[in-house]
Amino acid sequence: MEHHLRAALAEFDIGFGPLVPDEDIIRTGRVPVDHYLSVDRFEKEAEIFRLVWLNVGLDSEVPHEGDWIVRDIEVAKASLLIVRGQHNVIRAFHNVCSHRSLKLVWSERGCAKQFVCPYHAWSYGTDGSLRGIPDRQSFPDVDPATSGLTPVSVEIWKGLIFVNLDRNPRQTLKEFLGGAAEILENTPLDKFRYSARLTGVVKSNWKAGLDAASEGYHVGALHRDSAREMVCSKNNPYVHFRSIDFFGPHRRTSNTGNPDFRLSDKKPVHKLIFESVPQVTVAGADRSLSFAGPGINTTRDEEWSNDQFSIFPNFVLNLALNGFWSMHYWPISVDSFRWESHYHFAKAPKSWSERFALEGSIALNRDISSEDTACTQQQQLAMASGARSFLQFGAYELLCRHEAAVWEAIIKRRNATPLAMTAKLRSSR
Amino acid sequence: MSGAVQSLPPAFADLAPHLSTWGALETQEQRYLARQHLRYAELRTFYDCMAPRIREILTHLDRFPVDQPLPAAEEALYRLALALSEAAAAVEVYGMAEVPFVPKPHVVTTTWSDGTR
Repeated sequence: MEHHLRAALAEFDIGFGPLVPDEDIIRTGRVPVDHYLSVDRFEKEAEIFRLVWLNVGLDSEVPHEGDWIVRDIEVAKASLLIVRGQHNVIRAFHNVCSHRSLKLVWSERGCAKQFVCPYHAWSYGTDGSLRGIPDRQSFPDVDPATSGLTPVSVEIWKGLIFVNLDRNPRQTLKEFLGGAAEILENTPLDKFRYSARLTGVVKSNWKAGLDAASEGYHVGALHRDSAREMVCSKNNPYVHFRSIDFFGPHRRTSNTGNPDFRLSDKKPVHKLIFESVPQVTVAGADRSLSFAGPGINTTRDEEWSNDQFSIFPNFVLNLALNGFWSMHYWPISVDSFRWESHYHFAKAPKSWSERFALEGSIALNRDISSEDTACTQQQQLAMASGARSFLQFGAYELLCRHEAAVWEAIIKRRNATPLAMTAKLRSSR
Repeated sequence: MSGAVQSLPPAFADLAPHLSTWGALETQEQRYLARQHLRYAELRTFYDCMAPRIREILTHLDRFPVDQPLPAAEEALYRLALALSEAAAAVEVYGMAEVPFVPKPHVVTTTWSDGTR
C-alpha cells in the first residue's frame, strides 16, 4: 500500500509548472463533500477545462471529406464544429458565425461542402474560410481573409480527436499525455473504427460519475443484477486492481474479470447477443487486435480483463482483450453532467444477426451504466444534506483519491496564483 | 415509415399485434423510453412471444444485405427484434420494466459511426 501511496504523490504538470497531489487526500482517502457541492470550486474546475486538452471524438466519426460533427462543451459554454476538409485535414472551429455571433450549425452531424448560417446565409468552407456574404457591398469593413470561423487547436492521435480551447495551448498533446501516451502508442487504439456513442444527462456532480468509473469495489453490490457475475471472481471478489501507475495527472490500473463467468441458459436472448459478436472483454481470434500487448497487464495476471486509463480531466479508456470502450464526464453545472460512453468495434456488422447483437449489447451496457447514474444521483442529494462532511475512499479506491488530490493541488495553486498572474509570469520568463 | 400501416413477412404474421407498440420506433432511444412506460407484464408477454422466435427471425433477415435498407416488412420485423433486446433486459436481468431507481423518463441517445470504409 505504502508504495502505491508514494507513487500517487508523484509530481504532475498541466502547464502551470510542477504540482504535487494533495498528500492529505492521498494518505487519508478523505475528500470534503464540498468538492462536489461548491459552485465556486466548480467555476475553478471550469477554468481548467478551458486550458487543457480534451478528447471530444474519434476521427472515425468523420471518416470522409466533408464529414462534420458538432460537439458542445457545456462547461466552457462552447460549441465546436469539427470537420474533415480537403486532403484529409481535420479542423475544429467555434461553431459561431462571424457576422452576428449566431450558432452556425444547429444539427449534430452531416457531410457538407460548405456551412451556411441560417440567419443571413453567410457561408464558410470546410477549412473555415469565409466564402460568401450576401449583399456583399453592405459590408465594406469586412475583410473575408480575417473573418473566417474562429479556429480551435486540435490534435489527432491514435484515432482520437483532442481539442484545446486555450488560444495558445501551454503544452502539446504529447507533453500533456506524457507516459500514458508512450504506452497507448503501441496499442491498436486506432483500429476500432465502428462505434456507438451513448449520451445522457445525469443530475450529479461530474466527479461523482467519474468516481464510479474509477473503482471495481462497487460492482459486487451496485451491479448485482448485471455485471457482478462477469467481473467479480472467486480470487478477486472486491475487484482490487492488480497494478496501478500514475502518469502526471493521468492514471492507469490493471483489472481482472471472472474466468468462471458463463451465460445462463435462462438468459437466452442475452446469450445469443453475446455469442453473435465479439464482446470487448472476451478473447477474439484476431490477436493483432488485442490490447494484451507490451505495457498492458504488466503483472501478467491470468484473470486479466482490462487496463483502465483515466486521462485528466474527464476521459476514461478501458482497453480489453478484444476491443475498448470509453467514458466521458462532461460537467454542466455543479450538480449535473453529461455522461458519454463509446463502444468501439473492429469491424462493421456483416449480417443483420451481427447488427442485432451489436445493438443489443449496447442496450445491455447502457443499462449497467444507468445503475451508476441512479446511484450518483442519490449520492448528490445525500451529500447536499450536510449529514457528512467528507467522503471516505479506501485503499483500492486510490484512483478516486488521486483524482481528488490532483484537483486539490490545482485549485490551491490557482487560489494562490490567479490565471492572469500565471500568464504574466510565463511571458516574463 | 412510422405512422403507415405495417405488415410483417408472412412467416411472422402472428407477431403483428406487437407492431402497434414497437413498429414505429426508429431509434434505441425511443425503444428504451417505450420500455420504461410499459408494465412488466406487457414486456413479459412480448418477450415470451419473441424469444423462442429470435433465431428464426435473424435467419430470415440474414438473407438481406446488411449495408442496404430492408424491405418494409423486414424492417418492421427487425424493429421487433431490437425491441426484444429491451424486453430481455427487463425479463432476464431486472425482473422489472426499468433499471431500478433510474428516474423516468431516462433519455439516452445512441449514435453509430462507421469509419471502417
